Amino acid sequence: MVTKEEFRYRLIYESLSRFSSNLSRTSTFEDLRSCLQRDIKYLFDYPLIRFTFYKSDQVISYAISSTRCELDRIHMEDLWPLEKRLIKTEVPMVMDVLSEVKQNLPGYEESFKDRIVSVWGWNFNFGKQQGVLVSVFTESGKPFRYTDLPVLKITVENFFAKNLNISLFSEIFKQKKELEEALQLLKEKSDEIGLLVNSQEKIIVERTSELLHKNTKLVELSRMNAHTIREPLSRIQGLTSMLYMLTVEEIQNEIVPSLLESSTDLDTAVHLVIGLIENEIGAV
Amino acid sequence: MKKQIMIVDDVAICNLMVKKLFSLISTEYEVKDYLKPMDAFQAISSNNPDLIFLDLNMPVLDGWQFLEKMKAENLTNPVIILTSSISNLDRNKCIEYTNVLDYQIKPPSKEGLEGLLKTYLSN
Repeated sequence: MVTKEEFRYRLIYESLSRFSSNLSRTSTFEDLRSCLQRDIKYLFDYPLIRFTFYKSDQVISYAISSTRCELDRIHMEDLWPLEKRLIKTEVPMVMDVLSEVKQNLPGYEESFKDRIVSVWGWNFNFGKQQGVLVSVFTESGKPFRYTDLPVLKITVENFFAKNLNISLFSEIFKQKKELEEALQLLKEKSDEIGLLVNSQEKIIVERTSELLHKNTKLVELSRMNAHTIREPLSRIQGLTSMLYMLTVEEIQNEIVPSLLESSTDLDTAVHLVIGLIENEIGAV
Repeated sequence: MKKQIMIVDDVAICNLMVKKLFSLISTEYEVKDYLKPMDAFQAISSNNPDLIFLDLNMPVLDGWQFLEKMKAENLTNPVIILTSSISNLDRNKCIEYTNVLDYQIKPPSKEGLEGLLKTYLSN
């Protein structure tokens, strides 16, 4: 024969087991919210329970009633008054002065607030400025049961572990995304640099080729000046210097015709060189 | 025995001028001139000239090619470049050939040639 108490414990055990199983399958804060909305009501029979996970400046609250569970990402300064006191003192407390209790229900309808008679609070601090704040709101005729405390503790430990897990995973995912973006940026910059280098190399090759061509032409023009023009000129100089050494007959027969031929060669050479220079200027 | 001088230039009037100047300087030299460098090159072995006056700018075989052929054949007859070129590129290139003794720019003067003969053919 199963006693009422035994039956109750069996129910709690099965509910806790199901909650743990469902919790293990969650991977986002939204999954966690759905899990709480679905399973918490089988563990605790109160009009409102609020779990607030905090880790440094990151604060996420889940307000669970019988019909819904609201998820809020808030800042420390947005905590409810009771939660602020819990953070400060870390001492469990209960409020039963109605005006004070109502202050802890911002945004809730007056009809709902009127049902609430007290609020119980705990700060489960897991060290390193991280933990879970729990606020349990009770209504008339259904006071807080101390026998719920062990279950609450197990629930909070599981809840904290899962929040921490999702939070760390989110951070890693965010960092991974940032790294990927940085990597992509680096790749884009690397590609840009590659294009610039290729472009510069092409320009250098073109300029070098152009300079080599100009240099070759300059050497060619220098050679033309040295040989083509100076050759007939040196002949004219040589012939005229010999005039005083020769007889009139030798001058008339050999030097004069040679002078004429050399002066014609000189004129041809000058025309040739000028033509080449003009061609080069035209090419530039 | 008379010293053998070879003149290599494709312009006849240049050879004529140099020959005339040599005749005015002295008769103790036997001067032979060549309009075709290839003929001159072939005559080196038989004549073994004591001094070669070589032009640079010539068709078929220019002065540098002439010197290259001499080097290839181990012909070490002394050479004086006699050219109209005033280019330093040409002047500096002479260093590559050990048998090139001097670089002279045309037109040659009687005094200049006399000096060269004294310097390089005095013994």
